[in-house]
Amino acid sequence: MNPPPAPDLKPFRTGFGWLWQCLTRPRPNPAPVAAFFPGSGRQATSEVMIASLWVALWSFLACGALVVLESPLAAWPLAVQLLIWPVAWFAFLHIALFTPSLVLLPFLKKSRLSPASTRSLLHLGTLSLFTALSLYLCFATHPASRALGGAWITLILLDCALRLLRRLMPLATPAD
Amino acid sequence: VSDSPPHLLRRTLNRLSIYGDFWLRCLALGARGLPWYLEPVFVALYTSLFYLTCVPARRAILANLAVLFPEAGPLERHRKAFRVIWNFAWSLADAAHVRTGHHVLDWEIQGLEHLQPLASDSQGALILTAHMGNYDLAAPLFAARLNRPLHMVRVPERHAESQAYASRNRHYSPTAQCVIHYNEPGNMLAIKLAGLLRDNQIIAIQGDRILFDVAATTLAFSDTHTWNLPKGPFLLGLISRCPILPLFITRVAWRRYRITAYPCFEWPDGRIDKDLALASVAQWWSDLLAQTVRREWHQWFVFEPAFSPRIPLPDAPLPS
Repeated sequence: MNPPPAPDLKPFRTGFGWLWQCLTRPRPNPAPVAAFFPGSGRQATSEVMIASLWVALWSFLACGALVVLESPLAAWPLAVQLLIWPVAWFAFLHIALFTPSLVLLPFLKKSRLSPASTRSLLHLGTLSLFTALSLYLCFATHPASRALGGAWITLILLDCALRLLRRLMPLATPAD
Repeated sequence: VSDSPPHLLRRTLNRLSIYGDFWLRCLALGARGLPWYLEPVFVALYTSLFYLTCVPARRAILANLAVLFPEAGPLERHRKAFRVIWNFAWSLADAAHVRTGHHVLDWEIQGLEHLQPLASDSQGALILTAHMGNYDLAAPLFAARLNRPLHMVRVPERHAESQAYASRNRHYSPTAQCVIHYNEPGNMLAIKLAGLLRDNQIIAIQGDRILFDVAATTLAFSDTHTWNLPKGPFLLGLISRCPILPLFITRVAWRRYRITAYPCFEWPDGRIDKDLALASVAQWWSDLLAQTVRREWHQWFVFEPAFSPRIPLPDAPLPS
């Protein structure tokens, strides 16, 4: 069962999530629903799908740029490169996911952080690997690679600015 | 058995197979470290991978969908079958989150009026459900809402390592009111369950899938097909004469599930013809399940062929 919600001291949605929340109004429960027990995952389905589509598309193109334009593999036949591209993407996603867990988790367990803080740090580790790839692409030779790297960095900076803005604003409602 | 190299290799391959504990462990690690914005990407990737590699399960889903949608073409059926696996993957991912201790699911209840008597009465009851949504996760919520212990029956995992891992993690229940019973060969579970119902306890059991050597009853699904449903729940209900509450759990959105309860099946008072009563309860459940499966086909997680062609009765004697 979901535990009773703790009093909100900070906004739940920040960054682009907050922007999306402002743009889309939450739909009321459909009529036949007699009881509702909320958890703490309050992202809208549309927000999750849009964010995930962006990350999937960006990482796929970034891995493509890395394989086809920016690596010694560029000299290989295009067919081989096109074969390596999805494999590299698949590998990158797994490296980005499991490296923070395998490297940080033993230390985080010892530090006795709360599960929520541990999770946030692991997510930050994954985000750092995506940002490291984008930084590498920012200094690449091909303009398309530089554009891809720049797109990620711009969005990260915008998200940070939105988070800062939201923190400076008072909470409108307890659920915000 | 000694751990000779071939045996060790077989054991390792077993653990890596679809029923092995390797995937359960990966899922737990993923649930701990995967950011929400990457979850759909991984679910999509692994759904595609398993859809391509799990051939028997895919064929079974396609065969079941062919009965549910006889007019659908092969492409349409593949799209629908992929959707079933996609929903199943989401159910597993959500379950992994909850077992990791993340309270991320929203629950809504439809038909609350049918559940209220269970909370107020001290009588035993049988909750009959299907392989839909997240049965494992709904049970603790349900026990907490009813404020009564709930005994859940489930089939053990096919591999010993997976079963050991799953039972260690499945017993996560903050209310400690949800007890899991595994339906293993020779553990006399039916007698134990009958005893629990006599003691006015609530039992939740799935009534849509025949696994291992479960006794089955054959019923008509449509004009052309029949299906086998487990006989055990009906026998339990008949012995204890407790109300049978049909309940279905479906995933309605991102980390949001709906529990839908229907009116109870009540046994007639006085002396009853057992065969007739059994046939009547089985038919009642079959009709309700068929109606739900037709509506929520994309969340019916049955990975074995569920239907058999109906053998037509000869209208007239064959000419000699």
